[in-house]
Amino acid sequence: MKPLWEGSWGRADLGAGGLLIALGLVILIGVPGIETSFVTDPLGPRFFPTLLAIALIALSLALVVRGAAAVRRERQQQSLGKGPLGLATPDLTDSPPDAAAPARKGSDRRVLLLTFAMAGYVTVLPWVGYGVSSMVFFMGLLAIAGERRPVRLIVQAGAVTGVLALLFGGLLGIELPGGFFPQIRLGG
Amino acid sequence: MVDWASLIEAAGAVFSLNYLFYIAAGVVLGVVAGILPGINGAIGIALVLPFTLTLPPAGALLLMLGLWGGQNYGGGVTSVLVHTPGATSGAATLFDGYPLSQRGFTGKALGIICVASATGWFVGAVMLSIVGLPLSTVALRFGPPEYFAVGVFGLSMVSSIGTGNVLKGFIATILGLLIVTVGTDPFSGGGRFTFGRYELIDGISYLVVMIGVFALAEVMVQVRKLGEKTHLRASSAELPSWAEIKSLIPTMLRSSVLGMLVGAAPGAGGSIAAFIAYNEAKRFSKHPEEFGHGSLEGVAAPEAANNASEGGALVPLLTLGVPGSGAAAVILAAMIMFGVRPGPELFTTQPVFVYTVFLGLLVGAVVLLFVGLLLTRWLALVVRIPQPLLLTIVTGTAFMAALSLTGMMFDVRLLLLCGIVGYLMRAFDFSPVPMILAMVLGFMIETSMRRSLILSDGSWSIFWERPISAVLLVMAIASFSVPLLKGLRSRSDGKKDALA
Repeated sequence: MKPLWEGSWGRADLGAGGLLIALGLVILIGVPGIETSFVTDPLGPRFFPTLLAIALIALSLALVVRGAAAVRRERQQQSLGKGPLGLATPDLTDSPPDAAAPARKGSDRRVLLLTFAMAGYVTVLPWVGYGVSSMVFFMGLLAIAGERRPVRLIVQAGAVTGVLALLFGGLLGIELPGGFFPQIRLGG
Repeated sequence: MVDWASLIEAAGAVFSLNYLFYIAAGVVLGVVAGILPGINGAIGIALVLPFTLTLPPAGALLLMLGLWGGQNYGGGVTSVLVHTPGATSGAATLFDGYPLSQRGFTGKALGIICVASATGWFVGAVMLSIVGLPLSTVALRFGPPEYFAVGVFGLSMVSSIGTGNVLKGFIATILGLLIVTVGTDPFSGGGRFTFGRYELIDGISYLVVMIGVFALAEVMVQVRKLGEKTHLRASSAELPSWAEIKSLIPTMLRSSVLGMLVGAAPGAGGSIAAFIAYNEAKRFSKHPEEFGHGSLEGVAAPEAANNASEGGALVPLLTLGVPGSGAAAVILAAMIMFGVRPGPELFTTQPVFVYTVFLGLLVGAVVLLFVGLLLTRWLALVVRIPQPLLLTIVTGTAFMAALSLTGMMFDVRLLLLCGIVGYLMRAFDFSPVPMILAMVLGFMIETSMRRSLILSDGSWSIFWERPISAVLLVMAIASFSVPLLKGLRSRSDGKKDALA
């Protein structure tokens, strides 16, 4: 599958490697907190996480080194693309330097909006209840995904809310959060 | 030695309308259960158990086995349609099933899943009836070192699956193994990385992670791509041609045998069998470069394996009374409830029952083929649902599926976190596949390693002293290194060509 990142891969690897090293260190720091008062086997509960944290740090270091090399190569290529006085060679293509930038910005904004909508949904779900929160969330989601016709928004959101309630609450007997309203117990 | 009288009596029962109905009902219910995320084989069988109390024991068992087989097929269907396995056994199917569907060949992908599932099921049943007893003696020799070796062998495929970025594949594997360490330590009973939260005591469900990194992340990716000009072909419900099916026969047979063998080892379920079969299919393929992009072999191999693993799981269940998976455990409980006590003597004391199960499984495979092919054209219509509505259905189902697993809002929030992580992984070229694979295998690897070292008083040589374990570990090392060496060689060849 094509990766979504469209910037410098060297920098992406550097950033990801740095984050993963930090994660590995946090785990290593957390390992001594694992209780070992009842050691039942030669390795104990700390061994596996320690081994994995060290492996994570080592592999992430390799990623950082690879990223740094890629950044160096990118810089070299950029300097080769410049003229003898350090001036950039003229771009002879018809397209602007980054024609896709505005569209990309819009896409990123949509994903961010969706993430906030989902975060809002999981936050209010236990308080407001399944019915109302799902209806509103699904309407928002349909709108983010490109549905603009108000009647369809309401009908489709209502249908998805109802079918999921019947399926999970009714058929499978899951207690859907009731919130301020009575809990949905379709399955009895 | 075949007891012909019992075999004829069993055949008479299996081909009666009542038994055919039980099998067909089980298959249809199983397909539905497989499509619904959060309903695995064990839950599905447990749900129908109360309705089988009035049935004859063999009929009830065949209904449950039909459900199990249908569920394995249904799990793959959602992998193809919405990039989310409905059951864990369908996880390996999404690597090629979804890309194939995205290329417009939804009908082909679903058709191959159906044919491969039926083939796997049939081969598994045939092998069960032939090698059931001898295989059980081998399965009995599996101790902690062997399970550790099976786990490591399963992980070894990380170097050959994924996006081709081996380093990132290894990092994703480590992340998956680390997630498995969250929860109660299986030996000391103490908490690990639970941060005092009771929701983490049982660890992190890999179903939640899987739904998050595949389904929610896919929704985010699709939302990002809205408005982009795509070059997808219009989806077609056209089934695979006979020539395509014929070309897949070796892959399906090989994967079925592999699935049967993996399934026979208690603890190794259909999902592990599917991952291993996928890797082996890629290794044997003449076109390994097509894997991950909609390879027909990549769809057929895991489906054949996960259905064949059912026949394998019945080996320790019927011959030793050892359930190899959650579904097998529920079936064992049902058998005991019906007064059927599994064990080696079952073959001599109740031959009609045993033959009924064997024949019923063979019939079940044929029923699955018909039901699956009949459903394929209808299931393929899912991709014609308008995108905003489909994304909403997938998101809503994902959240409700997470809620249905434990009933805790914590899992719903965790799902969102996994979705964001899955999206970032996709963005930065980290395949989530090795992470899921590591989560599936991680518990078995750690517990088997620690149990082995208890047995050996801390000596690591135990893994090399036992033949099955040693062979599996050598195979794992070869499996790890061959794709890496191939990659390095092709890279150096490329450099030489560039210099020339």
